[in-house]
Amino acid sequence: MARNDPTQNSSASTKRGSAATGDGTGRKTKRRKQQRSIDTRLAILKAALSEFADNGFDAASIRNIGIRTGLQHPLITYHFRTKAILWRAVAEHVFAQIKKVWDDRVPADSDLRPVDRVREEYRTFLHFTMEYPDFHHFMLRESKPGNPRLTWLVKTFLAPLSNRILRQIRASQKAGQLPKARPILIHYMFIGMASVLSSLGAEIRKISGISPDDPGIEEEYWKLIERAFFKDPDDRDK
Amino acid sequence: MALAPFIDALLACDLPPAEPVLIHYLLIGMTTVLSSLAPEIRRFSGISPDDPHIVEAYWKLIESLIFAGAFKRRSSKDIDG
Repeated sequence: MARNDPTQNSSASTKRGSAATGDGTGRKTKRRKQQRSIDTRLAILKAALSEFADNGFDAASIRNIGIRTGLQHPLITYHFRTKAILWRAVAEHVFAQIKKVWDDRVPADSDLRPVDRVREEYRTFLHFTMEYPDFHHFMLRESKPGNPRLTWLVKTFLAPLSNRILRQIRASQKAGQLPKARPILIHYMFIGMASVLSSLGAEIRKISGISPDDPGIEEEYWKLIERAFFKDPDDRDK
Repeated sequence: MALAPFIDALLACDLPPAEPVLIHYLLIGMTTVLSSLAPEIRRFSGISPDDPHIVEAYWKLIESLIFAGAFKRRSSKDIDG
């Protein structure tokens, strides 16, 4: 690589010294550097998600992300050469998190019924939105007609993830466990319900005094969603 | 506060015993997503969220779920039980 990682400079002499002694310290130092690099990338991605959510792609700047992270501009551009590359990395990061939690909670070989898969995936999505409260605004900023980034998001992430759950919604409808309506409308209704607690979190707190990020509130809110959409637990096996 | 009359109305409805402000924001989330994510919905699914037929179908879904659906069934059960 032509350019040096500004985080790496201070440890060069340590690496030379340990290689000479062959005591394994070099490997440890290398692992520490790698971990530091991973942590830095993650901090940049999280700050960039907030920056893109708050200001949108056009108004967002690496300078602002530097202020948010307390990192120097060259360190950010070392990891992400341009704003466009950084934006793409943010999208890849957040959608990878959604896919991971879905795969963990509802593996492909799971014997859950379709309606229980739907329930688990949206429950997990609600929790994801609380952990990534800027995600919905990030998506809202891109939801503009003719936006090429939206086309890319739909093709790369939204279509595969949404089609996965739409199949389960259709199967649940056939089994009479979800309302008969266009599956896409049911899907986006869930998205709207799941996103509002985090996306309007500040407003909710101001108006009501409750903290939407309180796990008890998240659970109470999920119970409401369950009650609206899914049959009573007594009916589940009918 | 502008929200107070709406919350009072919610309390008068046959709705589940939950924090009214959560019911309110549940409805906000349900009702706003069709417009707020309209370009995304159109791009992904090909349907037009501003088509009056889609809006009507969407509203009927909300009505059936919130005002005549599972909420009511569960509320009656809670009262009976």
